[in-house]
Amino acid sequence: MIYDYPVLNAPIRQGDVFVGLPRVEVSLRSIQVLEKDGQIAECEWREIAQDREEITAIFPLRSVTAIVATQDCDASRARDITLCEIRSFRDVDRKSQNTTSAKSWKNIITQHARINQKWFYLPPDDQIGFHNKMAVDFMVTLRVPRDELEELRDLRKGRLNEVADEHFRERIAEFFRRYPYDEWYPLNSEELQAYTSEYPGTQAFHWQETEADS
Amino acid sequence: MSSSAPIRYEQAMDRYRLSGSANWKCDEGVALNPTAKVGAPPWRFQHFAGLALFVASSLSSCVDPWVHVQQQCAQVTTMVAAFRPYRRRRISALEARAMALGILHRAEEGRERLAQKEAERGINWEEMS
Repeated sequence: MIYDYPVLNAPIRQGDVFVGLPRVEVSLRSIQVLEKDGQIAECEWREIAQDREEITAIFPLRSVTAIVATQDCDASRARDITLCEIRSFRDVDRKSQNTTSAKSWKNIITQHARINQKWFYLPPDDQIGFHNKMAVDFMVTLRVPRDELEELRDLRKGRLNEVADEHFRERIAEFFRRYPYDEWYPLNSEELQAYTSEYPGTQAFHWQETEADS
Repeated sequence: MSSSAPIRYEQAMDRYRLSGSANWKCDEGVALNPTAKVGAPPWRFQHFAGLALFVASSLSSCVDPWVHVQQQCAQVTTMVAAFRPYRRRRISALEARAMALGILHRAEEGRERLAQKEAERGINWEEMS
């Protein structure tokens, strides 16, 4: 499909898919700290930040599949590599949970992909181990040391081919270039009314109020 | 951990919340309940959850000049402020493990909830086919 299968000693690149990397979860409300006497204590992160000390703590982690997001130039020399988690497409985009028809999938993969910038579609591939449709979730990132990831290149099961890699690069860049805006700003009074009926509490812009008055 | 953005420490707890450079948003649904039993984690690709030790540095390795200046200014006005005393609560290893796994599960549940909320908005692709 859209994947290449690099040799074991190939350098790590953006678009490389690794199976079995740690995703750590952190709660700022509850940190489990290993004290100097070997005891464990729970505290909030703000206390640690205020104390300005190095601490050893316990964090939960899960082994996940992930794709290298770090650009190639950094992936070859930076201390850390950033990856985004890959999960089942139906989990990342819940709208597709009951999707079955090819036409619907076509709509989602092509058109919806242009609208929703938060994920990147990955088709199934037996060699990588994707038995279902998958998606890169841009919202969930991992960070691992580059040199240690290089030692674990046997966990790399494939990478995006040239076409997919270029698309991935542009899509992830778009994701981080998003900015919040009130989507109803260009609606006329009739359209705004329809919008407000679905999203009550919408505050019209002054030019929309002016149009309504006139 | 490093940050080049200003982090205010010297603020009275009864008026301000300490804030970092970003809008700290803890994992959704976090509720401290150290005695809660943790169910088996959901299986995705036969992965497993584990606990790991990390050395966490609480601050950047070098001093942010902005922070240093702020602290000097803040000292005069905030020395008399009432600070909430912090206490670290001693817990057992089992409690720590349960807490950590609870954090992991709540984080994942939070993501699922958000994905569900987003799915309830927007175009229904099944209806369009």
